[in-house]
Amino acid sequence: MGVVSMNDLDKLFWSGRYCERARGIYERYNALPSDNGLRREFLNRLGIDCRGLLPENALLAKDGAVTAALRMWRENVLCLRYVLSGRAVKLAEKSVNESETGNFDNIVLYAYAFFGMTDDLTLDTTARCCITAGRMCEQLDLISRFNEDTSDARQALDRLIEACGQSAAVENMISRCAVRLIDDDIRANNIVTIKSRTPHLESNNEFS
Amino acid sequence: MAETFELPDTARYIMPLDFADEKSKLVRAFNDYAPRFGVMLNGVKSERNLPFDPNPRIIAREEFEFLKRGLIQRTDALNAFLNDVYGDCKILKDGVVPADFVLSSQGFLPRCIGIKPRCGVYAHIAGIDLVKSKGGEWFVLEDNLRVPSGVSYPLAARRALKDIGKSGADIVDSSDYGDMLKQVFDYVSCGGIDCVLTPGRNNCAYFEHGYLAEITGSALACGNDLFTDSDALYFKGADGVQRVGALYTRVDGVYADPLAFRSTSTVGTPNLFSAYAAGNVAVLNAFGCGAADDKGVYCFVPQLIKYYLGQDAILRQPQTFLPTRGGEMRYIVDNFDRLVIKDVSESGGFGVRFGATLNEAEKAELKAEIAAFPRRFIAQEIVDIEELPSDCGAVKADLRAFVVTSDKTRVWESGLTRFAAKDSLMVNSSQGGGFKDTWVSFQ
Repeated sequence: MGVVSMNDLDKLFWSGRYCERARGIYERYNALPSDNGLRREFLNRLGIDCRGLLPENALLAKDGAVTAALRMWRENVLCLRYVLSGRAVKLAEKSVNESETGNFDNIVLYAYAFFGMTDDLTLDTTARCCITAGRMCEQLDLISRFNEDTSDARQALDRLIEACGQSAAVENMISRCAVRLIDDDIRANNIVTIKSRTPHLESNNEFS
Repeated sequence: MAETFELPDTARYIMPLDFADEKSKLVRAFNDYAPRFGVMLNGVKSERNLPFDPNPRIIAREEFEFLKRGLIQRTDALNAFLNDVYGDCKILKDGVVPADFVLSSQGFLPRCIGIKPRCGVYAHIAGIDLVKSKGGEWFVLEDNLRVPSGVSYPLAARRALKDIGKSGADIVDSSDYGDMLKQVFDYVSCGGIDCVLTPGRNNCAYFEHGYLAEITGSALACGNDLFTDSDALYFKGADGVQRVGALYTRVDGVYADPLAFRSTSTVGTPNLFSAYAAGNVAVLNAFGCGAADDKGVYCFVPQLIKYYLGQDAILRQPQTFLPTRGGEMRYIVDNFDRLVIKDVSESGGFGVRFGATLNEAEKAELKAEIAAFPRRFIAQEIVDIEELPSDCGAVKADLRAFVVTSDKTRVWESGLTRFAAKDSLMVNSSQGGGFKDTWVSFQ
């Protein structure tokens, strides 16, 4: 597998982020009871305006949030074949192809397979850490939007910090200031404010 | 007497695979690799998976050995020609090829005169386009020495075959292309990492660029991922700057360095040519290869083989006419409907027109264009191409063979079999149509 270019750090970060977004949203949505009120509230928390749409369509239709995230995941992974391998491309491609036929059954498995595969098979530490950083960033965002457990947020932040510690390139990419603010939020049990920090997490990336 | 070969009994190789049941599985497995290719459809550029026909083309061992001999001979002669025209110009002085013909070629780069590429190899990767006539005889249609693409599709198809738990019975394993390419990198490298230079995500062959970087363990770089310092080339890696020893450029030479060649290029790296000329980075294929890629020079390849190797050409080429050569202009005009007219400076199937398919106004326009710019065109007799079975009926197909040169010249034992879009005479991936894997049998 090849050496990662500076310009591709951004793509690695976002491939982790979009994959986690598709998985995180779909898994949470699937766990909801089939109550349209609850589902609309779910979408509100994601900032999705679903007026005039069935909640399911806002997520799973052709331009829905999950399908869009899957497509963006694939777009990034297509550019990273040389570092992540064709197998990773295959997972992203299968996810998109299946989602386009309305089949979301395997999306979560594909996402976990992607993360597992990159953890196990990607030789480049920076590439691995960068994907983890993107993934944890998205986890923090979703945990915040759904006001979930503080311990989950703590775990995600710790993994983000760990990824930064393993790769100088990733450390340079992630804003220390945003990490510190999220840390303060978690300590103060102020989970809902984290989502306002996550867009700034990558702001140290001078190359993006 | 030319050598002719019959079509092997396809069923003999396919049936052991239970292929009929596996075809759709194979196509799906192949498509999962996202084998994109940019094509022109109705004049609009779009990206799609390259259509893949799961019925392979099968070439018998004996037949492929014949092709190998011819391809190696041809590639060696072309490399000798490039060394000569940028060196002593003996062939021009001896009048074997008209000097003005070579020097006026768009692919000839005067800046390369006197500059020897690493290890004396210009064309490390050559894509030679062949067709087999209905009579069973092979003809060379084109030599692609600048950035021949297409190798990744049969490679991915073969990988997909393994993914579904199958392998062709009695066929040569073609998965060694990555090793062959890596050997070239190692042979020519000036010390440092290997890199594949891509014009970027929007290039029609971007899939291939990523694929080749993957199988050779190289970095994939756009022009702005590289920079030069003190005539050495460096890669802006995420973990720091790294020296580049060998650069496989998938950007045409004239676009690879905006300071040396086309100043408008946004996909190259400034001063790359200086680093190459100083011998600090090996460039595959070397700058200047276009001089032998020219469809006009192609006409002279049998003479080049005779001149440099003292041999007769093993592989034939269709009778070709040059408007600049005495009397041939008249022949072209009088036999327009029997000929295919090619613009020497175009590639990707562009600038190829079949006389018989043009209306009177188009013919008159093209004839006037040929008269005004005779060096820009060649005309060829049309080969009645053998048709191969496919899932959408019989299709006209060519074969792009890949010839790799390092310490010696080798032919990859597979190839890209491209078939034409329905009702089209043109076999080219950029023009629609699709491809098949090419299996070389052991027997």
